[in-house]
Amino acid sequence: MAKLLKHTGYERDVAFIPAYCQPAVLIDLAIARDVNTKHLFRSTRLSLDDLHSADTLVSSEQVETLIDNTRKLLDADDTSFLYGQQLLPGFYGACSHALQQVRSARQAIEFLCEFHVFLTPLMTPRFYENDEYGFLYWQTNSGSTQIETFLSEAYISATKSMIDWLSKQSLPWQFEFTHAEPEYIEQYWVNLGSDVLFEQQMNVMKLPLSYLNKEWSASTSLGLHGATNAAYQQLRKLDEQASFLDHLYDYLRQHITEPISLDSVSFAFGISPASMKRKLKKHHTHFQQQLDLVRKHTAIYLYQVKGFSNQDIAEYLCFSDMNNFRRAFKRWTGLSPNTLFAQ
Amino acid sequence: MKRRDFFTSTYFYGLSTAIITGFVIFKVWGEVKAFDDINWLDVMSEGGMVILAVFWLALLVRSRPAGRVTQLLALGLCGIVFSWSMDFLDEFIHLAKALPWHNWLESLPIPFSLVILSIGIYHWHQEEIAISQQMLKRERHFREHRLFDKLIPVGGAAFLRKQLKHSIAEAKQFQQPLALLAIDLDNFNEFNRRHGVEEGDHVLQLVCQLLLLQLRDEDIICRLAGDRFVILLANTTHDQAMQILHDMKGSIAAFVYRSKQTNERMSISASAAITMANESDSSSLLKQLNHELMRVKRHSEQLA
Repeated sequence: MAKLLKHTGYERDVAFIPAYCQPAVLIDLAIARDVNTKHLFRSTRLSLDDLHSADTLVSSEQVETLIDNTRKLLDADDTSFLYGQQLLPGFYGACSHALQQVRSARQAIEFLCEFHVFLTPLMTPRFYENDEYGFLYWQTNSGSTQIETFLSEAYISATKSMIDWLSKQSLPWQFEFTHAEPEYIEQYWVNLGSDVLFEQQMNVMKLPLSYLNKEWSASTSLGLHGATNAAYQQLRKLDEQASFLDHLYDYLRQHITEPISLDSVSFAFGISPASMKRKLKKHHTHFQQQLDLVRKHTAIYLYQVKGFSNQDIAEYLCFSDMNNFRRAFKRWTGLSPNTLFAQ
Repeated sequence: MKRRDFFTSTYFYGLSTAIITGFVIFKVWGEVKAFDDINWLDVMSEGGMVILAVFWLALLVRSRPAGRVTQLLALGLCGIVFSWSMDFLDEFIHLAKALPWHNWLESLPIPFSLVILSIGIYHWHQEEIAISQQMLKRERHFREHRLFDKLIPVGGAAFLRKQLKHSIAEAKQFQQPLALLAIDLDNFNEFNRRHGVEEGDHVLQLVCQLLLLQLRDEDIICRLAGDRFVILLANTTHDQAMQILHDMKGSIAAFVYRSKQTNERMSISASAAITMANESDSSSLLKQLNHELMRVKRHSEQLA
């Protein structure tokens, strides 16, 4: 019998992001470019006073509206990249403090994954590696499909910009995005470099292992341990450490080799299938979509990291029949397994 | 330039006062028409004219910088709004034709305002010629304000693509070499990080002016994205372009920026690359230029 989860995660209308953190960075940018704050705050239920207060928390939904307003008002192609370059390490308490003292790209990335609630609240980064590359892939965690392109541009350029800055060189990053090549491709050239592919399966940044593991300086910094512990304390104080969609994704990922249904997952989450459906709908998704996403990611992981063949992957994902698997795979990715893996 | 708000401008206050005074005069000396006497078609057309004229005035005041030309245009439009609104009032309140007020309010302002407006438009025309002269190096083949960069007073990437197409065609036609020069500031991200976006934007504006000063009449500069500028050098060989590249890099290196907030002295350096346009199409040419620039940057980073 599946174990019951203690937490089901914060939902898109739950306020957990301090207004003076990431939202303030965005508002600063907009004000520096002469945007009228009255229009900026339209339907966000926020005001400039909220930014002065230490206690104002905002929800993913509100940040989404704020981003959407900024994007429309600034009407410039570089908004997401500029915003991203101001985001990290940021001034978000102990985790920002620790992030400034990390000593390798790997450490920085591990930190980002661990403390994404504070550092990149609207998207969750996840890391895996094979014997050539480290992969950091990003997913929206509150159903913000409308601004997914903006968020992926912002968070990925934030991570690149921070790690390049800390390492004091431009690392040979490679990027893949799920969206189609935009008209403003030159923004990618200038802000990310020319190693960018579009219409791929995930929003992912890759770095060769040698660069990932390289220590930037030999000196140990005592402050790092204290700051890391303080960041963990900060994390434990939160009611929820991840979003509802994060929990669902992680649960599905863990149980992907078992037969999974809406009913079994709802049971594990301690809610009825009806309210599970309702919650998913609130996050602009449905159960099958989430399950397909996890299967797709698992298949890619198994291929890239474990070197599984199609047959092995199909078996792992409980497909009894290869034709079924091929058809399903095509539904998830738009490509047949052979074509995708040949790339 | 900050946009000015029409409803807080002196034009709005002056105009409102004048219209209210006109209304009071009408009310005192005239008599209100009976409901059946009102011609609603006239009311609608004259009311519509007033609304449109106010709209023109508001756009003018919001978009144009203060100055003599704006003043003349705005005063002319104010006069038109005033006299049309008196026409509009006339539909509701009857003022005896014999009264001197009638002419003063309705007929007299129109010729005066038209004369002022005409003087304004004449000066505007002169101003437009002067600005075009200045814009010469930023737009050679055509003007398209929708493609202007939001931040820097030169065209953006979309504008560059269009200009490039024209330039390639021109170079082919006259059998002349066309060179593309890309200039990118070093460590600009770090500058933004340390000093903020506002200060960074200011540096970009200044560097752009600095580059503009060195262009010849046939050259065009555009901002590709971020801190990367592209210059189209018409009828220029590779060696000549190389010379220009060194001069431009030198001028940026010699430039000292004083920060707005702390008056700190800062010097800037730039990397640059050249590509010759040999029959390739505009988008692959830009890609090639960027590759070249990345190579130069990586090389100089390794040296450092």
